[in-house]
Amino acid sequence: MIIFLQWVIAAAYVLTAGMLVMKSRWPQMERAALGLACLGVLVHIGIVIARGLDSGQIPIITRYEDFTVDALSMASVWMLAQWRWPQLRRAGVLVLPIAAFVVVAALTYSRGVFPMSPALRTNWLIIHASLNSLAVGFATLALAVGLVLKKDSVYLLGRILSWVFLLWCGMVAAGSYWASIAWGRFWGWDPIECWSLGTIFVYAFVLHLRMKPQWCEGYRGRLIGVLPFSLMMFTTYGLVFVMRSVHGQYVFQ
Amino acid sequence: MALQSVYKSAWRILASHTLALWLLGLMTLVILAAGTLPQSARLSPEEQAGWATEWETTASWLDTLGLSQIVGSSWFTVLCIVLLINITAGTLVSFSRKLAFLRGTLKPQYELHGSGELSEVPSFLGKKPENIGVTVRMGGVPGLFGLTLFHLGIAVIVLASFWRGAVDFSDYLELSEGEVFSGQPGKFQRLQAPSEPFNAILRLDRAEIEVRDGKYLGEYRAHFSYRFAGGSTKQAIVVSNHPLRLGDYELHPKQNFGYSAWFERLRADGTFSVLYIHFNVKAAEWEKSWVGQKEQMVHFDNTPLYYSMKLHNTKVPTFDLKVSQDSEVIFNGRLRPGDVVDLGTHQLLFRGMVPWMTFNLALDRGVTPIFIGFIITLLGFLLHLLFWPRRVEWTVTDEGWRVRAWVRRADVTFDEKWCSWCHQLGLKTE
Repeated sequence: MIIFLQWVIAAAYVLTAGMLVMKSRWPQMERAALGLACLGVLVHIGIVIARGLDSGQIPIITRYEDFTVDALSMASVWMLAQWRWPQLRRAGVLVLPIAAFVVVAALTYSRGVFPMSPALRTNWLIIHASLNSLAVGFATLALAVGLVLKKDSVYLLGRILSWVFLLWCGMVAAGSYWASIAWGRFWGWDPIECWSLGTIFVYAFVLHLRMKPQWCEGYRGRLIGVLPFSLMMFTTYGLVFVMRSVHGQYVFQ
Repeated sequence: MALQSVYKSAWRILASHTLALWLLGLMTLVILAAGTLPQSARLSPEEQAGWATEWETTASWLDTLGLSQIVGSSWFTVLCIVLLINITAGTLVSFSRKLAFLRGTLKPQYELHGSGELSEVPSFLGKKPENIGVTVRMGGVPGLFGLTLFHLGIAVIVLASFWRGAVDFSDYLELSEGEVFSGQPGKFQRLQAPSEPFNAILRLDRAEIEVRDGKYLGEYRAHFSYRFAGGSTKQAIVVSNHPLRLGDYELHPKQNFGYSAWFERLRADGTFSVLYIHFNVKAAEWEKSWVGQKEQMVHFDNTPLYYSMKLHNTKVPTFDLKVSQDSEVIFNGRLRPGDVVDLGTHQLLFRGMVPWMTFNLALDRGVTPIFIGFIITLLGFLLHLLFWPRRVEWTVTDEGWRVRAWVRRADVTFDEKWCSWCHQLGLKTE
């Protein structure tokens, strides 16, 4: 049932993206597209809540849960952002297919429930992981704004990148405080810690670069979000596969 | 005069945005390299030796280039110091600009003047004076100093990191049930003495491991008795995320555990000491019977003995011991609790099997300023994002009126409102 629902969510997201593409020809499609996306997000929220109730713990421990929650974050951040700034609606053309891919990719991992190890039983996990998922959601939106939006709306890119930066910094700070009480050291230059700090530096670099007018406009200004986004994705999903990290001990593949 | 211009140029470079970009780019590469390349601080001595043997040329090149220990190298410290100077100088320059923003001495981004009466002034521009005079409306002031606070927080973190590096201590130690610890350097993994006197004596009364579903670590509790010199004995339970505070030190449990073979070593002179031989056990094996195996060269009283050991976790634990010296087998047999082995220079009394746990003893005085730095940084950036500084100044004279506005460059909302107002007035805007 869950597998079927996750495929339904993915289909809803992809269909919405398709309808947003066709909006220019049939403007009335926009309302239907938003309704469909809203339905997808609601089912998605339902799946996450059901998973939490089923496992009796916060559903951000396994890879399956991590991917599912991150996909929800991508779709929800876009949903709320386009509600506040309607010009961001078009960004759904890219954000929603990415969210659909991630929610399906989640199914490639075990859906088994694993009890949390003692170190994970803390509210700091919820803060740390939620900030991570939110940052991923905002970063995906920033990527889409840069690549998909029309020139006159790209001004929002700087603001979204700033929120990504803040959320990621918050995630690192929360993780650092947690490490200090759990392991007795707030920073250990572990590969994931280094790459997370590297991601902060890249976002800081990009935000400083945007203060130069030639990097605010044109194709360079649009592509500016691609590098930090790639780095964030690799740090979040890829690094534990290629490097041994203390964080890897706590992630159930 | 020439010296003054040198100072000015140096200051301009140190406070420059371009230098900030270069430093941020460089720091990114350096940090990613530190997270990717094998770092000696991160590898165990065995891993380091393996890496140096397997990748001999690469390892020697990394050593030569100073890339095998990036963090902690002098060039990394220099990079951090330059970054700190750049942040401080840049913040001071921008702070003076922000004060000028507050005073309205900067060139305004928006300006409009006219004569005669204005039918209606939109609310985002505040109130125009009724009579001749000047009114100033300030909004979003916290946002004006958000980035200043953010950079101040970064400076606090960097400075606290430098200070912390000089005062901190952190090392792992393994304690078996019933073992007493009073800060002896021999117990630490790196065999180093604590940087500050460790004034407590603690005893691990009970090591409690609970396994869930037969293979997952459920609970991990260490029951301690401890006391400080001249103080009374106290009890505490240490679990994950709840370290035991011992004066300036903190004792953190690490999820690494197993069983120890427990011996008493009796010397010929009648003295004896306790000896624990640790065997790692995984959570999945904790409640099952297993056999732990270990081979080790041991130096007792300068006599090298080769120990080949097997600990059987059965109802009554047994210990297979084979001891050789210079290829000659001194002892080979199975021990049960209470059995004694005579190894010539000393005797070993096998007492049984007890659980052990790993802990981290840490002294980290710099950590509080670092977290204060984190809070300042995050708060500063949040203020920057939530508050949009705007200064609107109306001047009414006999000849007419003038409105000037100072806003943040990316304040698109203000721009839209301004353009819309100008449009209402029948003016064209660019």
